[in-house]
Amino acid sequence: MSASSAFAIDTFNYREDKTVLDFLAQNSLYIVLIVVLVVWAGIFAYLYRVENKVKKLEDQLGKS
Amino acid sequence: MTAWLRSVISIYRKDWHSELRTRYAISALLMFVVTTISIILFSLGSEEAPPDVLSGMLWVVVFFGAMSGLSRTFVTEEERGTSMTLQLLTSPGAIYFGKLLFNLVLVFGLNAVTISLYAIVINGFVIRTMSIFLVAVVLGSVGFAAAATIIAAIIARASTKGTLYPVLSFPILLPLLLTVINATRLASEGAFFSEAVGEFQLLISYIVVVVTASTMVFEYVWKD
Amino acid sequence: MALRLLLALWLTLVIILGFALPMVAQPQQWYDLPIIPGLEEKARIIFFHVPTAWLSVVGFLGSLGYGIRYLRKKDPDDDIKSASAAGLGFMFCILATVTGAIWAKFSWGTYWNWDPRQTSIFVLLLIYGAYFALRSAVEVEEKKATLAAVYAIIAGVTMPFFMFIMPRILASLHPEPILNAQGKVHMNTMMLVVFLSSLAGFTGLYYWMWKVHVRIERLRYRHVQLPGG
Repeated sequence: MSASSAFAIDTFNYREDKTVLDFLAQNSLYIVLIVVLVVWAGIFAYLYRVENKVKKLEDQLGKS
Repeated sequence: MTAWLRSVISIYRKDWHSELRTRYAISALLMFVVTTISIILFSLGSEEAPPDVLSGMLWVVVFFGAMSGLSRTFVTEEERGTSMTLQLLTSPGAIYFGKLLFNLVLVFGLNAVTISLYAIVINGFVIRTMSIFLVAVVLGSVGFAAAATIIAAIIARASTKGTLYPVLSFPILLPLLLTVINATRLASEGAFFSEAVGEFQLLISYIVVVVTASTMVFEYVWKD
Repeated sequence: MALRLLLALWLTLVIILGFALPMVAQPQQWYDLPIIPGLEEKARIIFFHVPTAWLSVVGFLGSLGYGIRYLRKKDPDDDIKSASAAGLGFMFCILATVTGAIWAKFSWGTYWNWDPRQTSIFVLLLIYGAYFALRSAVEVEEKKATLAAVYAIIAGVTMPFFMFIMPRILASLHPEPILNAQGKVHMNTMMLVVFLSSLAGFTGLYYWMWKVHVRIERLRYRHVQLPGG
């Protein structure tokens, strides 16, 4: 399942591990790493947003 | 001290008198035990299940029997509206121990019937070391009563009492169940008494811990 | 603000290290991780699965602690803290059970085999479930808080028995759980560093989530109390 098979033109002169995609295809562990980092970024962004909303609500309700 | 003890006994006797008056609970429980054991019997057919399965099943029946019957003592107080009066009459401690005593007697009675029926009717259920079994049953019953009573007090104030009771009780009773099933298995395998001592120590400490915690916590549950 | 950024960076680093540190048979460099026979690369799960189980316990203990405080002082804020701790603990308990089952699948072949660890996390799940079932079954706030705290105490008191029961009952049949086989004593230093950092990072995450949750619940509580609200 090497990335080169997707590029028929390159079949005769593909070079191993030259692109990032090739590297990832060989070492799938790093795909997982990227996925986890994305998930973490998403969770963090969500939490951050929620906390800001809460802060706004607190200020609003605090005044009333 | 004796006044307190007298309160405990009177609570106990009051509960029994109202039970015996209607006999509703007792007959329901008996029918439950008979039905459950019959179901097991029918599903086993002529098959002989291995001894550890049979040991486990016995306590499953006991567990659900307990779940059917042990909450009554508190739930009826709520249903009949006598809870408030009882609070005024005597201390929470006396109430707890009185009801614990009631549940103890109920559990012993229930288990006596369940176990006898189970032993007679289920093929392959053999007890080789009776001493282990008897001690396990006694300690297990006390443990059941202890845990079931405090949980009963908790759910008596909730809305969905019937379904909530087993849900709350199961995690609490699980250590007890596992230990007592193991001891029963040892008894049916014919192990020496000394091998089961570890289980008994566990059961005793379980009982002590649960009763102690219940006593400390009961007044919060009870007082409105 | 700075703390949150620190948390973000900390956990990011932990994640990267957890995945990227090379696993070699004979660790030479300070950053090498040992290969654990039978697990190899999959051992990295330890950095992410164990913290979820840890947080389930933290959640329970937090709930128990604030529950006891509530019984003493009857301050509704303590109940809010208790319930929030339990809510988060519940979520992490579900995560721990699921990730544990995944680990079990590729370690021992089945998703579930009732070994001590799996059974105890399952029981914790049951306790959390029971706790919230109880809370939703009681209308009056004060009674709800009191009964929930009491149940947490009863559960907390019976839980330790599992520590003693598990080896007795299940030792004969089941393989040693991974954590016992490589307890803290055995763990390679670098692995320990990443592991503990992960634990710390996740605990920080829990704390942040808990704080935000408590603030939300306080608002909800106050909002209900306000006249006409």
